[in-house]
Amino acid sequence: MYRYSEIDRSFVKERVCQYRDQVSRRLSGALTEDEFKPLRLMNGVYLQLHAYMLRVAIPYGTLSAHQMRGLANISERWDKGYGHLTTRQNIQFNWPKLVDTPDILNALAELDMHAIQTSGNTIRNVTTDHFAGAALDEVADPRPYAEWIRQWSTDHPEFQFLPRKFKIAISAGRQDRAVIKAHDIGLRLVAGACGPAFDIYIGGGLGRTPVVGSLVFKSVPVDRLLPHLEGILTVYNLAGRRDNKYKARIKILFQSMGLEAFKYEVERILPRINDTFGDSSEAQLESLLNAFAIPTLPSRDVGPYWDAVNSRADFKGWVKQNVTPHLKEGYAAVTVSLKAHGHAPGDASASQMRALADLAEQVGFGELRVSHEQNIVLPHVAQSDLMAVFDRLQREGLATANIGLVSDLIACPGMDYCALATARSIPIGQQIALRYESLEQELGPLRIKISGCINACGHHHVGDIGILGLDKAGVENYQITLGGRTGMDAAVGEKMGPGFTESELLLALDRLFSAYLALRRDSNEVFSETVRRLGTATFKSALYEVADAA
Amino acid sequence: MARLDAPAVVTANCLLAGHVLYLSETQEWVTQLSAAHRFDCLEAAKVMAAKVNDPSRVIGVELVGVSTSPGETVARHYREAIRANGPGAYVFAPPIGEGDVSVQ
Repeated sequence: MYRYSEIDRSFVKERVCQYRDQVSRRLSGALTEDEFKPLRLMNGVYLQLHAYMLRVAIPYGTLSAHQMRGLANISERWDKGYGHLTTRQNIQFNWPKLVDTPDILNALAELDMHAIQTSGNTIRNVTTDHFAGAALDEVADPRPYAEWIRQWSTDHPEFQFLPRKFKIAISAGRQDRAVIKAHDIGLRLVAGACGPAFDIYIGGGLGRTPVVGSLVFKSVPVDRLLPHLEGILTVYNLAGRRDNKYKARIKILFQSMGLEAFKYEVERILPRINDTFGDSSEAQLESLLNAFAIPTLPSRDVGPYWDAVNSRADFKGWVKQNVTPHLKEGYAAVTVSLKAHGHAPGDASASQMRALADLAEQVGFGELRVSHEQNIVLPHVAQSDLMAVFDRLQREGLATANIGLVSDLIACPGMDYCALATARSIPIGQQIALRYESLEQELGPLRIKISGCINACGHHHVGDIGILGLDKAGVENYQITLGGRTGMDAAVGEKMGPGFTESELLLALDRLFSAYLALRRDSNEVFSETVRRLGTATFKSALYEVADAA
Repeated sequence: MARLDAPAVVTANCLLAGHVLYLSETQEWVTQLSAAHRFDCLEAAKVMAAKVNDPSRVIGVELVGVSTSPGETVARHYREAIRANGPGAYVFAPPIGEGDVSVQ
């Protein structure tokens, strides 16, 4: 894992001091709220419905056990004893007091963490595959490149006041697990002619104008990555709209210019930008590649593991659902579900965070990941340790065997916490998880994604079933989209029709699932395949059949 | 944003802690909607909201509509009900709303 340098530490400490002074001046009246608001947002402090909210960056979702334990301590000392993992691989604390936020940021700095650029019109946390470094199908570990981009983009003087926020994701596997085509810039690490290279996708994004990103630059050599990013951001910074926030994302500019014109503008300024990136940048990458070396994974006897698989049905079921093959034989990546049926998706209590830190230290080489699907991953666990991991997770309420099933749904905070939301999402997710608990194995792999407003933090556009909560004449109303998908063949789901009230929604899902079970070829055809084979119209009929009958 | 009709209450968030506040009849900030003063005249409510907008104590002073039920003050819109009652997202406790599944 990357460790902060003294430069990192002094920068973060200095920002904490600046922020402490800003809070002090706000409380003394020297700063008005209008003056203070952009300053607190630059440090991740929002005001939501019931309280302030602090969003803490977890770069590319990677955490040490020490950091996880520190987050648990922060949640207990200054919050309500839990944290909420987000679809940007970050963690949010929902209840801090403003007066405490400088102390929290200081505690984060002690952990080599911060909340800088978790808000505002700047480059946000770079996300990547939660199995990075452990995945069987990856070209190389994408995290050194993510860290390289983090260092380049943090406090970048040109890009602190972009037209709008900017999101970058990197994927390195044959299978895209970072939803790169739904990002302003999506990077795919590929095997180039002379080593690793990047395919660069531009102009993806969800929100009110969902767009799948387009491949613009193919097989860009690693040493040209940062100049290309700087070029793309420069074109966007100069030409992106600032008169209308709803038209300000790069996808709008990219669409209005067209792919070739946008590419031409980037290539036109690339020679000048190339000159500004010298050898030091490549030396920096070399050092990062070493920092992310995979730990030495000693061979272990897997006999006890197979004995346990064959003797305990609950363990076998959990392995089947939550354990992923590892590039090293005898090892596995464990996805710890934060979706126990009926619990708020993505929430982890302080004691659970500590248990995860313990496990990471004891059997996980000290490392944890936050997935964009709001779960925790232990990336390197010997198969011989899986039984002990399972037992500990069971004691902590973390052994739900539901990864990829109905209850492993994504839900944004929604109106329970978010000031922008137009409807609740977490309670909808809780009800769905409980309602279909006994049926979810039969339903098989199925991705439900719920957003509480059009900003689509819950990624509803790319769910097998997307649910968007809106305010319809003072009543929560939930629109359903079908056919969305992530991956290299990402697609935006199709809106089915009029929305449903909260109670109607569950009945509509009943009909949808009934239709799937009746229409699938066999139990091997998963929901998304049946929808693709038959088209969404068939399922739209199922969704609305009662209304039509009436 | 829906049109605001009377009756209404004055609400804000606490600067220091961020929690939800309502203006009481005695012009104190309280945390319970039920203790908020209900204005039947929107103009009077706006005058009062401007008067109590002390940026050293509160943020985002605004008016929100409440029900006209006699003897009680209830949020008219679900957003304000959530602000008044706290998150409906149950942390580490079972939620409401379970029902019979009718998937065939």
